Amino acid sequence: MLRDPLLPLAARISERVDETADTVTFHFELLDEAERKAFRYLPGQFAEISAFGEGESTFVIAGDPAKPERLTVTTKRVGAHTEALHHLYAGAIIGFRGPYGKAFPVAEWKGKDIVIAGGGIGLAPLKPIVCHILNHRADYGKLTIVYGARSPGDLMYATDREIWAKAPNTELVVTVDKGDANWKGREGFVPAVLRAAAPSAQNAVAITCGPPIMIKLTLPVFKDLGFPAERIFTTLEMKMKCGLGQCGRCNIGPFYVCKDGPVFSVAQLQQLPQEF
Amino acid sequence: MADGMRLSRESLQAALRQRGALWAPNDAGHWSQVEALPELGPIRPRRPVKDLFTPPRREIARWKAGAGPAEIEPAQPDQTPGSVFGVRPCDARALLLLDRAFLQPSCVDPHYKARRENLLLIGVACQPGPNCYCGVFGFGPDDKDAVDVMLTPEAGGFVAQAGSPRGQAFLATVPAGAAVPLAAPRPGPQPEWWTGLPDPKALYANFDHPMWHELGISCMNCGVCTQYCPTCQCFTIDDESFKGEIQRLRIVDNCQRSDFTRMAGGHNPRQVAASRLRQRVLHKFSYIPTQNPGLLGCTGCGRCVDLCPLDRHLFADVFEIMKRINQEAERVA
Repeated sequence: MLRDPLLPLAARISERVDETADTVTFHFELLDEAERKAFRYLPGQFAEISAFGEGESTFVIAGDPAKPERLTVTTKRVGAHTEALHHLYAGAIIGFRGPYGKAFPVAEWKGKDIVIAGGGIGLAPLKPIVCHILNHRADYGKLTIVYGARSPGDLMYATDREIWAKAPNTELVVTVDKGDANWKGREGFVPAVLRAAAPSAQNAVAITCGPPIMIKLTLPVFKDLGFPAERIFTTLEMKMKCGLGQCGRCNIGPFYVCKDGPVFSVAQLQQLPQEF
Repeated sequence: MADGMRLSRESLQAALRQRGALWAPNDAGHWSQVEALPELGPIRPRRPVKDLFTPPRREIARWKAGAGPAEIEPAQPDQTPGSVFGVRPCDARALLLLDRAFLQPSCVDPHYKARRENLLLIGVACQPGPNCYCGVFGFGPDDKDAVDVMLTPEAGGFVAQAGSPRGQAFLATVPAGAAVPLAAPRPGPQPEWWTGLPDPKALYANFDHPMWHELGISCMNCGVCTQYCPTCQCFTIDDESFKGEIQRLRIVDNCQRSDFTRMAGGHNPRQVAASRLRQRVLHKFSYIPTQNPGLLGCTGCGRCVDLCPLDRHLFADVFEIMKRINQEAERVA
């Protein structure tokens, strides 16, 4: 019989990582063995996650796509549903639907340098790209990651960043808007730090995700560095409910962000109404 | 000219009851299960027939609070065979658009599909009201293209014609009276304000036109237009808890609410009224035809005009402005 596409699968939280004061990463696995073994996703695809009884919301799958049995979402506490999620610990059951949406075209990026600029929780959709590149290191050129957060306490993925910092042919630049007494690293906003790092646009692809204001200020930097609009990618934030192109709310121009996105090149975004 | 088939009310009712349950509009204009064929009003009922296919509240699953995942009970699609009597062409045509959303092969809604498969659409030709404008979309009050059977009322019964193979098969089960030649299809109303459908691209090109703000001032974003629209499909998903039992529900939503696009962090791409009103017009008359050539997000039922508490006729206003914009463009060229 047809399965209702809105019906979630049950998943068990295997690990909870408190990234910052308001951000928690959950690692979890699907309970159903057949579903778990068959499950695959690509960098940039998202899922609908639910704390049962509290509703459902959209999160990018922020894990290593080569290990699809261990799923990951990073959640920031901003409303009633994320508040409910943040009360959950290892062993708790959550609902899962996905994967949805178009992925970053990582296969088309083979042989190219990759430049990633992320801010705050915007690193979440970029992490699967980094994982994919490090899993297929020889397929890609130099990887540059510029990552910024408001304060040292707002930086996430500490364990992953340690691995990235030591990865071959990889440059990780971490910055905070404002350091504290113990901060020995860089200070400055992502766009300025990216400009100073000046990665080459020659045979390179740029990807950015972060708060709307950061993206807005980062795109011109990529342009100045010589990246054409076709080679700059981002992933749109838009309220979604179904993930299937049915519920209507992520409609923008002739597209549904959930089906036709959320990953878009800047060239594609220039064709859309400027509602964002 | 093809022939229609004369049916008595009694023989039609008996055949429909033989087929299964029967739905029709009640006195309040809501679609409800009935025992006998009701007398219909002259015009489409208050509620669009989509209510039977994609109801305003539809359960996805339910479970007891604290239950394990094995105890989540998915809602079962309603497989009751039956017929819907009194469907108007505008409402039936709207289902063709809803099919595009709820029967897309990658994510078929099994509840919607079960209803579409099990319910025979029995259309009844109507007498269009003052705000109806189906004629502008090229069909009329006795259009049979989106129903299984179209009935034209006459004294004591109906003249029936099949609109689909399924309808043809059903009509073969009804003891028929005489074959009667069918009159030409009646044209639908073409109101005075109608000056032609704006080009979807031209509408889109005027995304930043000041008209949206001017029109937005006189709209209170109540959303009645979307709630009664036969083609509007938007919904939200939420959990409701009552006496220890939790239901996951798919609940009708509407794009005129400011919350509709407000994200949890507070960012809202459609914060002002004008942007939401523009979204409604562009979705129906630009985005849908761009993605589904030949389809529009409007079938001319006129409910949005009938029910607007401010007596606005948004589409007429927009088309009038678009006409002026085009005339201006031609004058300059």
